[in-house]
Amino acid sequence: MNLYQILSFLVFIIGVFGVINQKDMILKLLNLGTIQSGVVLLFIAISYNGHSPIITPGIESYSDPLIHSFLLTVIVIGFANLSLMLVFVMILSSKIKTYQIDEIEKKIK
Amino acid sequence: MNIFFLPTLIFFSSSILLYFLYKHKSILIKTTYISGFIILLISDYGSFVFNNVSRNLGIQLSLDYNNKLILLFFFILSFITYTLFFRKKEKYFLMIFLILNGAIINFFQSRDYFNIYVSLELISMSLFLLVAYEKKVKMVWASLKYMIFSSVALNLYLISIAILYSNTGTLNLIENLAFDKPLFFQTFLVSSLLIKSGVFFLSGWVIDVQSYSTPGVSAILTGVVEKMGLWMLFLIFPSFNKGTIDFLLIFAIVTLFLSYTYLLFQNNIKKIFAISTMSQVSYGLLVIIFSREIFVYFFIYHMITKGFIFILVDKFFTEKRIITLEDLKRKIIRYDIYLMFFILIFNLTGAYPSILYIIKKNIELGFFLNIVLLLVGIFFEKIMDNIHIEEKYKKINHIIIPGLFLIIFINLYFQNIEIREILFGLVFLVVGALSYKFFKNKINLKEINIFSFTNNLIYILGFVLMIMIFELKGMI
Repeated sequence: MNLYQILSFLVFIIGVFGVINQKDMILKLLNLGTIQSGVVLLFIAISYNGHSPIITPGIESYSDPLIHSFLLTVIVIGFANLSLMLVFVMILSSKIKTYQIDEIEKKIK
Repeated sequence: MNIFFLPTLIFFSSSILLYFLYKHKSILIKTTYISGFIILLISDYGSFVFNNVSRNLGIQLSLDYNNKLILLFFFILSFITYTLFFRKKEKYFLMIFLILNGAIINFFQSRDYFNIYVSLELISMSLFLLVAYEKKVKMVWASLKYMIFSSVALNLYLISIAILYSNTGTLNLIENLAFDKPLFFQTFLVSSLLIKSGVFFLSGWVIDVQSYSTPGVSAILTGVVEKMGLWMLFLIFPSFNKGTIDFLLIFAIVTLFLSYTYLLFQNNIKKIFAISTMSQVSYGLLVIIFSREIFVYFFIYHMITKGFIFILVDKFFTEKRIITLEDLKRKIIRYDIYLMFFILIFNLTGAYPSILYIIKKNIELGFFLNIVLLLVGIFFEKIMDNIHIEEKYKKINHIIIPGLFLIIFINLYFQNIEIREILFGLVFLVVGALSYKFFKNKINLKEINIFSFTNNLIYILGFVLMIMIFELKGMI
């Protein structure tokens, strides 16, 4: 495991603790984004070998392009998910008038 | 070339066509279901990789006996759900529902870790929208909770496939079965699949989503979506070592027992059934561990039984605002509905002659599962005791139910099979049921909730850390 992989795990763990600790829904969702960034970084750390991932005629050394195409999908799906979550938080806050998770849970009970 | 991948494309295409042909939605959707069903039925078993590349590099789709059977039954459940609940829904709801169907078919046919991830995301996103379609506060909250936990689970899944790919260079599921598993791959994969499976402790979202979702959606959710994690575990089970299997066995036993215990503290009808689904997921794990070859039958049995229970609950309870057991007590239910409930819930108990009993026979934990029947008996009586029927049918009921059991005992006597074991199980079930009847007015079990948002995340984190430690120590 190289330094970049360890760092990506660190980003992931920061995100996980953020999701658990934060009481504000928006901050929780931002931390979910951090978790996703950790995962994306891990993929890059695994595939990057000092070269571009684009296959070009005449150049024999390149990073694994397959992983990078996966990443595009992951980022797009993550973006869609996060947008949808933010919309739902917006609907909730317009009806319950709070972003605090404890209050939301109490009022919904 | 095999055509088994076409149903996925048909559903996705119909979803787009529906946007333009909404006036003819009934014909379009029925044609979609019928053509998809027939194509799947006549398709030969086989597999292929898109673009004819090696399966190491491409996306492999496969049709075998197991996924064909599951998908055929899924078509039936999905079509019934559509007919009963969604026929008059809006354009966008139906479009999302068709996408959900297509993604589910793709999930079961796919043999590529990344394609499975994409299918899971598509299924989850469709469900988020369907669950909260009516935009009521509880629905939106349930969907949001589902989204966050699903997001956490799928990120863990991504980490596991990143670790796998860096070690083996392929994401093909079948190819990877032969490789030694890299460190932490199993930790992240098993955790993510268990969270998606709706297993007790890790999947608190199940209770909210099933309780508050749009009527009809919970049947698909409980019937198919919650067992997708189990399907994945079923596929990769041959690559698990003894330590992992032992760990899953202990986890399944503990969650089975605790979920039935937790169920006693619930009063909301849909919550009770949601928790019973969690306990059935533990049964599913035990089936995979002890008798992998019959898992597909467990899957179908549970899909049909639980799917129909939720269809009945949504159709006759939720739409009539019967939410809690107290509400149920005050209403008179039609006798045919009562009988259907009786048969379906009995089918979940695992006592003879339920289908679960036949499946359970393959699990080598007979004594423990009989003890669980005590708790199941309480669950059974808790529901049935609160369903009231018209006076004129009570007399018929007093003949039909004992008559049914008499037929069972006569059948048992002549078959001469494991009578002692069967009676042992039935005694536990009856004792459980009677103890509920006896103690229901004496002990007031207040509703408890151990699945607050933060608690659930802590359980997941604790679980992941625990398996990581086990894996580091070489125990799994």
